[in-house]
Order: sequence, then structure tokens, then C-alpha cells
Amino acid sequence: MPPNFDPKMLEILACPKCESRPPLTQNGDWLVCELCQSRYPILNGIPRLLVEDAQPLKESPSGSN
Amino acid sequence: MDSASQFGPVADSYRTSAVHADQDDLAHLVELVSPQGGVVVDIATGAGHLALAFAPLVDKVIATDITPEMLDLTLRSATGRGLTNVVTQHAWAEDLPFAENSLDGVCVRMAPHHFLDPRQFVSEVFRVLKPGGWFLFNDNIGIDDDPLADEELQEFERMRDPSHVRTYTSAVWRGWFEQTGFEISHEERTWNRMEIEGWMDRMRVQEPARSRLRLTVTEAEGILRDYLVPEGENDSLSFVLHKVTLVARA
Repeated sequence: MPPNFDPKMLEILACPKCESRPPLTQNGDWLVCELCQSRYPILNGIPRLLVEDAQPLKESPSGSN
Repeated sequence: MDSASQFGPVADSYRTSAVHADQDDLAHLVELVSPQGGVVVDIATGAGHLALAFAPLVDKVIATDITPEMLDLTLRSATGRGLTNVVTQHAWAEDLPFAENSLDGVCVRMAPHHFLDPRQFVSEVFRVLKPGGWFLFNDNIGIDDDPLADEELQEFERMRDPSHVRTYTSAVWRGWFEQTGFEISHEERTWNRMEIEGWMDRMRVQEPARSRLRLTVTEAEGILRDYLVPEGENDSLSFVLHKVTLVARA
């Protein structure tokens, strides 16, 4: 787990790409949206929750999802 | 040019900027809402001045920005002051990555003139606030009732900062707040006098734009002159930027 990411943040974070802003789950260095099947990187403990940084889960090169 | 590209290389100049780091102004803004705990988001935090000012009074401050250098700076400043309840988050103001009704307060200072869709920004703030949650809004404003002078002002700002989108009048902001469902409880208009050389240095403005900006101030006429209120000359030339502060409840 990234040292600086507070898991309690998951209580309020939401997917910026989805109209309904569903919750996210953590998977290693990524935050995952099950609704739109996207994932967002956590860099240095800071999630990059920008729509343009969303990556499709299916194309995950690391297979971490 | 987008804000992240514009502000990344000059992030540290916003940490030391007298206008942005004005402790009296920050204390006044915090006092307007006087929060007692809760989770607060500071949108487009820049160097994190307002986020850090709120931190001692709340449970957690989430400082958001789209510029990584600004978030790094904010976190370093928080650590330097021993503030352990400040976290940072990459986020667009118009697409806030927070759940509905999840926040106790939202604040923004000297930033919305960079937002591409300010109405959507207001709508997003309303969405993420709990019912009764507070919204502290502060930004520079445009010129009322004179579109030509207002456009001259916008061009003046864009010449210095290509990521400047528009300063809207306080009436426009009030309208967006009320249409969204906010109840405005406080409004005040103030101003900052800007030393033009430092103002241009902060954005690393080069010639010939520097000369054109000085000329815009010294040769301003009519309503634009009434807005800018030029004083001094040469290196001591200064002008005024007007701003509005609104406090509202969701």
C-alpha cells in the first residue's frame, strides 16, 4: 500500500468519469471504478482522479486488477 | 495554455506572493465561516494558503489542484507547519471526485477565473456538500455594465497569464449560486493593489508583453481606468484588482 494514501479517503472519493459518482476501491497503486471499469493511478500517495487519467481495466498491463 | 502547464514552473512564487500569503486576508476568510471540525475541500489550492489556514480548525482538509507541483508544495508546507490533517488530491474543479453529500465545507480563493466551466463548478460544489454545508468563495471580478471595458480587462489578464479564462462579475456569480440552490449569507467586495513588476514576474512574463501590460495600465481610460486605479510609475507602477467573497450554504 502506498505509504501516504489514507484508506479513509475511500469513504468520500468517487469516480469523476461517471455521472453518478460511484465509490472507488483500492487495488494496489490504483483506485478502481467497477461501474465504468476504469482505474486511476496513485502516485506518491496521491490519487490522480482526473478523467483524462482514467485507464480501462481490461488493458491493464500489470494484471493487478 | 492550461493551468497545469502555466503554474507548474512558477509554483514556488505563489508560496511567497504577498497577496496570496496575506495572513490577515486568510484569517478573515476563515473567520467568515469559523468551522468546528468536519471535512473541507480547498479547490484549486495553488500554494495551499487557504487549506493550511483552515487546517487547525477542521478534522481534515483535502487540497485539490490539477498542478502536481502545487500539490507537492502544499503538502511540504503543511508538513513544515506540523499540520498532519492536510491531504492533497488531483482534481478538476468541474469534475470533483467526491461522493454526493460527503463534505462539510468547500472553499476556493483566487482561482475560479481559471475554470473552463464555472457554472458546472458551482453545481459540483453543491452536489458534494452535505445539506447545510458551507461554501466560501473568493475570486477576482470583472467590470459591471460595460462589456467593452470588461473585455479589455480580460485581455490584460490573458496577456500576462494565458491560462486566465475570465473574471465574472459578482452579480453573475450570485446568479449561478442561487440558480443552483445555494443560500448566500454574506457578500463583500474588496480589492488588492498589485505591484505590476512582481505581478508580471510571478508569471515570468517576457517582453514585449511586459511593455504592453505597463502601457495598458498607464494609458487606461474611462471605466477601465476607474477599475485599475493606476498609481506610481516605472518600477513602482501599481494597479487594483477587485474581488468578491461570498459565503453560502447548500
